[in-house]
Amino acid sequence: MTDLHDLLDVASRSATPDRRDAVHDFQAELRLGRRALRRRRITLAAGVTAAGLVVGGIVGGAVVLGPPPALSPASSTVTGTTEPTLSATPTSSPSTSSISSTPAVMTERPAQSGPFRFGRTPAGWVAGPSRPFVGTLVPVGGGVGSDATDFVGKITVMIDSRRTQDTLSSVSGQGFTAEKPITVGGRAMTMIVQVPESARVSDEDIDKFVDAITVSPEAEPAVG
Amino acid sequence: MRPISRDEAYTQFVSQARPGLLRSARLLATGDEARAEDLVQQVLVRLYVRWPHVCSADQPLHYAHRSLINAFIDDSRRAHRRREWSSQDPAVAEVVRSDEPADPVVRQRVLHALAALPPGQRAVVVLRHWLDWSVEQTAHALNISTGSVKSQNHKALAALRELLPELAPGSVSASSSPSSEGNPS
Repeated sequence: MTDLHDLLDVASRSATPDRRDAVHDFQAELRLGRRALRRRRITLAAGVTAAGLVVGGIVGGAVVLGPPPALSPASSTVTGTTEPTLSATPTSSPSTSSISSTPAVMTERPAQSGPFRFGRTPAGWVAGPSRPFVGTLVPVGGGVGSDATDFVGKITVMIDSRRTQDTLSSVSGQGFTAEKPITVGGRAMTMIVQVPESARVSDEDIDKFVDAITVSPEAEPAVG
Repeated sequence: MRPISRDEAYTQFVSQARPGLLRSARLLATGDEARAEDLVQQVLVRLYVRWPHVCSADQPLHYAHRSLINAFIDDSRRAHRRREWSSQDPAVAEVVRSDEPADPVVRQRVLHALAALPPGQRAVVVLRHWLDWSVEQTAHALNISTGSVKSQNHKALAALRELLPELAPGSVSASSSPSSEGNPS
């Protein structure tokens, strides 16, 4: 009597004993992997940019257009409050050079931004302005807009009403974007998290950071 | 101490994982070495793209094998991209000389028998009897129910026993498969 495992053991060996299994140069896989990753970054970045434009368009169309309020780094440090004023046009970050030196130590300190709860936060980052469709973390040193719909220089989290199967993550030219399947109010949706390069969160910490984000049923889809 | 880079960590992992992946791929591709290598390379590229998830997986090797199975199933479904083999069946086409050791002959017969199985049943055989995964793990990897795994395993073993007489009834289930799995009910 023969064990099937033994037969499969024989069948799975190379037909020619040239030891190709043991020695392999992974340069081709690395090159192809980098190329595939680059393509994915471009695709994701384009998708998130489009999502941001849609959100901006919806919000912009709903309010009276007016000049954005002048911002100073000190006044733009918002902690855990919802901004009542909407800006019709996204404000640009006054300065990100000072933010980029913030150490990227991931802490267990939670932060609540509207219906979005960050279970972990990078050191030096606190809850920022929120809306039902977006939660943010902002650098404690300021330097970012006080408008919840101005994403520049902020860590943002939104939900998309479409479903996704897998958690996707990619590094774009200006930061990191992750998509993760979640269930909000019994509905399968996609959570989109954007982390700017200035947050300097390591690849290892990104997954833990994203996994620690929870969304309450009050959240509204930003897309879809 | 300098932190290990993504490329370094990836290369370390795939250096260890590739031989096992290639052996599984050979079984899935029933001896088509080129297809097996293509499948493995496809999987290794996917692993690079999803490297953070590979690292955070409970069992990165299981993650890699699941990717291989998915790649194989996807590849098998692409009828329009069916490979042009020099013969209908690479397992049959492999030349075996009678003065060679027994292994090549056995190898050819086993690959021939595997080639007679549909891709889904072949995947079940590889996962259950080569990798020794549980019914639940196999079901999860193939995204089918545990009942389907048992059913496909039952059919696959019946077919293999016909083509490989040395697999006497009972010997397979006694060695690497729960006896209850012989009955798909």
